[in-house]
Amino acid sequence: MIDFEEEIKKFHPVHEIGEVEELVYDKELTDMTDILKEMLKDRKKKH
Amino acid sequence: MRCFKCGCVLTDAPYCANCGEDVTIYQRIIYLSNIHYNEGLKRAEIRDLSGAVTSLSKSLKYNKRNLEARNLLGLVYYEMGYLAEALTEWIISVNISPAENLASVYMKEVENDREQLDSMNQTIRKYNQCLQYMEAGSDDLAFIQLKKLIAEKPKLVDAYQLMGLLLIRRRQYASARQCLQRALSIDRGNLRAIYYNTELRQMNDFAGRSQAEERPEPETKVRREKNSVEYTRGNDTIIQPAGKAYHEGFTMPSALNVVIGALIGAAIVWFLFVPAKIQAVRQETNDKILSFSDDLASKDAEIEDLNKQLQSVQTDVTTAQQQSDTAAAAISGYESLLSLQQEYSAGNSNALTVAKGLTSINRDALSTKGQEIYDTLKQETYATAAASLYSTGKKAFNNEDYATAVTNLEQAYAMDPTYGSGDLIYYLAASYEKAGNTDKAKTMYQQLIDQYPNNSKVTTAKTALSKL
Repeated sequence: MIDFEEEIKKFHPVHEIGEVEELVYDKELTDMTDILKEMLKDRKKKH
Repeated sequence: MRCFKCGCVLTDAPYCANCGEDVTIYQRIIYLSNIHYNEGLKRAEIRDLSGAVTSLSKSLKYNKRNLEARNLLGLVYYEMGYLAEALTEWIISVNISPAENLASVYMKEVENDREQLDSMNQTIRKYNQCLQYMEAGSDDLAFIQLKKLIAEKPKLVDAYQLMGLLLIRRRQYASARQCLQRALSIDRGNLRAIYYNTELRQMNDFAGRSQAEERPEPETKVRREKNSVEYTRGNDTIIQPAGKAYHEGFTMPSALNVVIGALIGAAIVWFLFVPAKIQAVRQETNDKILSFSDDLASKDAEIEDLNKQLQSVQTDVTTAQQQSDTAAAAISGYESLLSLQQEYSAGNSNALTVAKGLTSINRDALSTKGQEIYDTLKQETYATAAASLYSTGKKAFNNEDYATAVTNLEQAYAMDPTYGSGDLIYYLAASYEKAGNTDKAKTMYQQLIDQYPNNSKVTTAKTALSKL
């Protein structure tokens, strides 16, 4: 059975075109390659 | 593939030929990123957009420089109606690699279609407003807004999901199903829409079973007797008379039913159709009355305008008449003046006659030349005429013929008020007094006292004035 109140809470506002700048700045762009670089850097520092 | 450290192009070897860095793990990362990208691409091809977003996001988590994955992710977002997210991915993609990037092509196309861009943004705005209404407890407002939004057939999947949910709440299951189908036609793998659809199906199955439970049990015949048939239906036992057939025919009750039906039909016509017809006729009549009123108003305006014109013409006529009268008076004046001049020059008329003639002429109606002639004649005759009239008037006063005295002395005064240095004024005042014209007598006595204080008759005048 659908719980209406609970389902409504799952709906969030969609970003408008004016918020693109904010989205770009807030975008988390760290990927596995960056983590790998960090790990190699730390390893080299230790040695 | 390029080395993550120095950017040099890698070979199949597990190390970079340029910097010597171990690239085994890096190669695996790129490989996994590509696998997820391929999966995302397959999902996008079968319109499982939600699944494609998940796979492509994973691909970018492994390798953020996977431009194909990023561009495709932007495209998928755009198709789902998430305009801002799509542009974000394309902007980042162009920043990573500006040259020969499909993302710049996509963005240019979106920018060029301004109408579509504004429409999508407007859709998002309205959808967000609906959510605000829901938060504020105004479900009905949200429903109305969402209905208008859905009618424009936007791409926004969330809008269809929300509408489906609201319709389910209102028990409008058929419409809800339609809405959710539209959401699934955009995004086949949308989990929320699939969930709602499943719940709807379960609700329908439940309703179907409930209807089946209410179906009546078949009847079973129990026994037949001589005059009756007895059978059960569920918990009821029904006994029906046997042998009596029911004939379908036109009997009295049927006729009565037909009559009643006809009466009801007539009543319906009378109460439903006739008022509408009457209303239509009234409306037509009102329209005609309005039209006639308009005509009348315009006619009234025309009449008023004509009246004004008439008044103007009458004024012109009056003015013309006045001008004509003035001209006639002027002509008459000229004629009289010429006649008097001729008579006086010929010696046929004396100064008194000419002077009296001049008093009847309107000097102002004459031209400049005419006025000169008038003034000349006046100068030549008025003094002599005044003396003659004074003499006649004084004689009449002495003879106690005060009426004649007044007449002559008034004429003398009009011609020359200064004649006699006040004597004329005295005799005129005395004539007024004797004639019973007290007011004029007072005026003349006072004038004498004021203008000729040295006149011999001033004392007498003062005495007379004090008595008046």
